[in-house]
Amino acid sequence: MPAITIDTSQLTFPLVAVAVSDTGSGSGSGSGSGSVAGAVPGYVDGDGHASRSGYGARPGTRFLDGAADPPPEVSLPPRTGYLLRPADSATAAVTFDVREDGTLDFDPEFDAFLDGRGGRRLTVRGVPVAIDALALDHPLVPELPDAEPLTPDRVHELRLLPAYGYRLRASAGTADGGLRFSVPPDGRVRLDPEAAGFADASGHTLTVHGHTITVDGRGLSHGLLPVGASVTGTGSLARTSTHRLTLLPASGYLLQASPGVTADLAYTVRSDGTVDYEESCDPFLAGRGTDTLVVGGFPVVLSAVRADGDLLGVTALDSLPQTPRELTAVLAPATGYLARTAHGLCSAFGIARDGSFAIEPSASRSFAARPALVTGSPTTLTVRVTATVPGGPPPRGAVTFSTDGRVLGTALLDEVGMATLRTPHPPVDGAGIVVSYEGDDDHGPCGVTVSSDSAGVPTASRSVLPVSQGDGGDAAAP
Amino acid sequence: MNTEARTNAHTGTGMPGRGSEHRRGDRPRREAVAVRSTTRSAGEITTPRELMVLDLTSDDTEIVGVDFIGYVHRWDRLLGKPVSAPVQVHTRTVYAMLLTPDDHEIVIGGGDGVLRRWNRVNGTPLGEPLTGHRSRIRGLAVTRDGRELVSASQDGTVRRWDRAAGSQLGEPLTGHAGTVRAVALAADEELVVTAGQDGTVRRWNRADGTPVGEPLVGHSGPVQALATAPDGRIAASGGRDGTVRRWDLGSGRPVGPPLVLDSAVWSVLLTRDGEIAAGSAHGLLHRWDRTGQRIGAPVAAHGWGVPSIAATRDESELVTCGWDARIRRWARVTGEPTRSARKETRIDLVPRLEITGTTPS
Repeated sequence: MPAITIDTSQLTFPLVAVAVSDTGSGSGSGSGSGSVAGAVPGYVDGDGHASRSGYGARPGTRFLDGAADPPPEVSLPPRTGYLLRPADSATAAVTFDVREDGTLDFDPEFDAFLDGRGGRRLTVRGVPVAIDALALDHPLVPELPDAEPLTPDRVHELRLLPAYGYRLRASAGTADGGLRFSVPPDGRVRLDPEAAGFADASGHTLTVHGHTITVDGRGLSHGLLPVGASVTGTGSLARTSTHRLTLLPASGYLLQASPGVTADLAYTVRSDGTVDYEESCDPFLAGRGTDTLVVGGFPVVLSAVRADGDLLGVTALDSLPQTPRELTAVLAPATGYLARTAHGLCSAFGIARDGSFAIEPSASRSFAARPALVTGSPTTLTVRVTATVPGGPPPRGAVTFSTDGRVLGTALLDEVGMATLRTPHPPVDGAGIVVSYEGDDDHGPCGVTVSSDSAGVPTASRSVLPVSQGDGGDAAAP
Repeated sequence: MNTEARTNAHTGTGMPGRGSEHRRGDRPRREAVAVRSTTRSAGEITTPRELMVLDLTSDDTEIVGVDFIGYVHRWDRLLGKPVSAPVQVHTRTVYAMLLTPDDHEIVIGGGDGVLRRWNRVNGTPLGEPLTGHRSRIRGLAVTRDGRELVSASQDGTVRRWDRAAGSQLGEPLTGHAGTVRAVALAADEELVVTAGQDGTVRRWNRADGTPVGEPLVGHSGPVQALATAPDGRIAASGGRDGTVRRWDLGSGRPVGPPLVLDSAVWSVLLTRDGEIAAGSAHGLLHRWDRTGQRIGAPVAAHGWGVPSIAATRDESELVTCGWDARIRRWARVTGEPTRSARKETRIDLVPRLEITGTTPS
């Protein structure tokens, strides 16, 4: 059986599979190129035995490293319609024949990128293709065996084996999406029509524009870390402003609260450039169907009044506690938040998508959930003022707490729109605390009356799962 | 917003037509005179394409706009979210659109000179097209009872229509030399007021179609925008000469001195308290009180021109669309400077998570 040497060392991605086309013939030495697009081939192993195989990572596909030294040899019986393909998901555009005398033949149209007619060494030079994805904020990965990501810092000059069905996918965390293109034998890149809105092809160049979305996390107390995306500076999207990310349409883009704090927050960039996300994220995400993803969060008071030391901070937050024993923050749903006291790190806590606290059972004795209003001496009540339409900077200004016509106190909103009342004077039995917000230039006024009965149900979308029962909020730390 | 203001103030766009974008004074520019906010303001909507005209439903819940390639869009005014998919109502540029007083219909004045009616909610065409104009329609008005439409066209005519029957009422109103750029109805609906490329504002008897008085002359150049006062006989016209001029529709005399903008006037609105709001080709929103005194500095409302302005029923809010593909809402308090509409707020109660015991734990 003739041995054919396959040399693909000039290709950027030198692994190729040799297959046989159903349209091929076991005798004769015709051009044999036939109609290869869409043909499901049988793959040929190193001994020249054809075996049915499929797409993707199915067993039976054997990719040859044609860049090896020496190049691999494949025993191929005489026949027409051998195929070269760079991936299971790609359809070969290149065919060759093995004549009865064991020499190679192929269609003259392949001369631009194939050498070896009349010999036994098939040299694949490929065709030049430039991938310009400079606009993206994440790398692209060719869906080819052992292919390295194409970073968005330069235009990548590739030499590719002509084939139909190349795919570039987003390389950003769990993002699942990509674009398809083909390189026919003439070397001119052809783009899948579905990618027309975010990429274009001209000649030998494929330019990937992606879609630019805006991420607005200004209502949070921490920045956001887009997994797999390149962000200048610290790598995090600071909460002080909105940020624009240019991404390939894909589902499963992730945002983290910080390294080690895994936010439960995935979103999709659709092919029309709008964002989408699961309905369970509605309590803290907004912007579905637009090009702006507003990441809200859930406000929380983290209290160390019953701990053994002062509270120093929480991972992911760059702000300090407002008092030695309390910290107010708006946190994205995530697991792995760690509070630090003067004596060390506490057990991790999390925030679920519905806003409830997520505590590991093994740590349940370390935490206790309390309602917003704790009456007694002192009486404390923490509120957050927020816009009914998400997005934009948090409200500024002051809130006034009063009861039974008597002002209990006035507090300025902090940087995330929260304010806390601490008063030694509890409201009289049955009287609620009236909370009034005065408004600012961009936010209108509002008010609410809080009673002890209602304080445990902060908002319709927010539930607090008590993880342990306490006996009140006025005890000193042990 | 009252019906009069709705029907008379913003049914057409004062922006220039194709081929005239680069005429002096109308050329859009990126830079604005006033200080521009670098952040997205409250009450801002990004539109898929630049809108030519916008309108509000009578309950102010919905913003309806038509873009420059003939798609109608609808948004929830407060949430800023689309309430339906865009509907293509025309295959050419639409310069004129209005909602009927019952909000049931969207009337489109097409670039082909044809009036078409669409169901606002389900986006289906209604009745037969109203044909007669020989060139693009530049302005529309409707009577309070919704029975009669009045259209202004580039063919130099103004036509009255029985909306339901789809038939013309009387003869076309002719007199302008060239394009009729805008049309409005006086508060009593006895007068049709028109503004023309010929630099004049004209009055017509709506019943018999005859001219009323002499043309109102003052603008130096085309008159591109027009509004009538909701409860009086005052009209305001905006010209490419960068001025807004007010007119007593009874006497035909000017009311006060011209109000000067930074650039050509693309849109104008009169409110019940006599204020004048106008949008310019450079994207600024100007306001004056009834005496002609400026109310605050012009606001850099949009990156490019402001082709349409609407007001809520209570006139506490102005809504503008810009050639920067934005809709913005503005708080309008009589006599006070314009500012972005304030967002509605709510108060959430914040639960506590107590750390107990010893650390590290």
